[in-house]
Amino acid sequence: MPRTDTMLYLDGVSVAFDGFRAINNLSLVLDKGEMRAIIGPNGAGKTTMMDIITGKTRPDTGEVFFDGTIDLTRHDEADIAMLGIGRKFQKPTVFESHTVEDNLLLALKGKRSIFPTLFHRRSTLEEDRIGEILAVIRLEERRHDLAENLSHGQKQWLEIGMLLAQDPKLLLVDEPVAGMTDAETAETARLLRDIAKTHSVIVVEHDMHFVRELDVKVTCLHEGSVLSEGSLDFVSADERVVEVYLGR
Amino acid sequence: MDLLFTQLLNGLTAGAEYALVAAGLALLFGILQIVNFAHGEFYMLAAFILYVLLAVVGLPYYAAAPLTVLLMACAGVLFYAIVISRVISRPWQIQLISTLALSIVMINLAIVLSGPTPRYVESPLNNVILDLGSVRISAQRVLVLLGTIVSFAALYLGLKYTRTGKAMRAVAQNREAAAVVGIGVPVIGLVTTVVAASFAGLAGALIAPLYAVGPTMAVLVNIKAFAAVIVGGFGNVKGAIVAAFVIGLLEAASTTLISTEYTDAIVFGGMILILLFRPNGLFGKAVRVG
Repeated sequence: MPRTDTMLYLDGVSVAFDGFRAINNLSLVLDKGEMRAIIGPNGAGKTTMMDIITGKTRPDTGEVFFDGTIDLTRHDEADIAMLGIGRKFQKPTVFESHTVEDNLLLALKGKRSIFPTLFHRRSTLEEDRIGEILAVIRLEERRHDLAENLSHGQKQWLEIGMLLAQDPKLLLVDEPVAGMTDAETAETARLLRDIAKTHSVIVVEHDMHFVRELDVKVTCLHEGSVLSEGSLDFVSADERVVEVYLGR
Repeated sequence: MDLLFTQLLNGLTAGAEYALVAAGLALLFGILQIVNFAHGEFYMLAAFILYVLLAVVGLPYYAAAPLTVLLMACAGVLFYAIVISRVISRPWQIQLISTLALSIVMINLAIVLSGPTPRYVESPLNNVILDLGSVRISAQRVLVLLGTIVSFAALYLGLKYTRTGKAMRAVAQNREAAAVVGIGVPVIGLVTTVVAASFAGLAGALIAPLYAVGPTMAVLVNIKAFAAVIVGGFGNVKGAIVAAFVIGLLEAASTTLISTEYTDAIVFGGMILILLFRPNGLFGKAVRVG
């Protein structure tokens, strides 16, 4: 497949920290509109891979292209965020003393210079967008509640909503269901499937039951490179994956 | 009874002075995590600006006072560009030394430029005496109290209901997360510094006519404003304002009931007592480290 048709294209990417190769000749292709689950043991390079994509870490070698033609190695973190890559970290970082609605309002994509910041007036367009996001993240009923009063799972959803508010083309979601109830986990799978209809998504997750509910292509990383790739059943049946990650 | 009421008004005026300075300090620390040791000197600068506008330029007080606040807002822009923007991401020791150095420079510049003789700012409201029963109070003191109440109400409404205010509160809660969601943190830093400087400007514009204007006029005010910020709960604006008025009233009460000589000892003794029972201040939250 030509690189121009891809949302994310990593080829031969390596990065070392103090002689330790965190990423070792990693190649990965994500199509436009695709959701991918990334699994693997601790230290496999999942977080470092996310850091490379978001510009937090520069690779020593290899190519990293976004949306076909944009070379991410030539951009810094702020640039990459503006280009349309949004990242949700493992620990929710919502603004607790703001309402759910205000959290989304603050995250909405817009000019950040002095005059737009000072003289902003909320438009009907913004109202509609906030309403849409609230529906997607299942928090319509909690619109006027303070974020600190949400459950852990709802805070995770709100943060996903704050990502959506920035209108990214690609969402990177790190362990979204850690600490969630079973009901919240199932709802999060549905939520991410809804988002994947209009966005490209990479989900890093350890919960295999949740990965199964996502029903997407899975990439298993080990020692900084791709160990196995395919459907969850295919990857789960791979002897090497069983050996290093799933256990017997 | 009349004496007590007069002293209560004096206490509220002193409290307003400390509160206007403390509010700026609390904003800078709460939102930007910067301790500005030169903040009191902004109050002194505002008083001198007011003096120049009245005595040299010849403007009437009602024009000079708002212009002082406006010029102090401009000074805030300069302060952000020259100092804050350069030290905001540096270690706290560098922030401390930078702002302390600025404080010393400002005091000494004022001594060089104005000389040691105190100046007096004329306000027509000083000569307007209001009779409240058997208690008489100058209209200037009433203006101080009204101006302080209105400005704090505006600050509260601005922080709570405007997008900029919400963004300021978001940066105060989590600067990194604010940057991640696209809030312009440098813009918020600039706005915060300008608001803090404007409050110092308002303090100078309102209170300078009540006292002598001199290079070291803000030294004790700065210490008491810092005390208010600490007692109120570091970075908590509401706490700083409440604590500032408590300090002002405590001063007035100790002056009336005990002696002027013991005023500062009583005020700071009270502060120590509060911190013994509430180590995080009146409105501060406990923070777990490590």
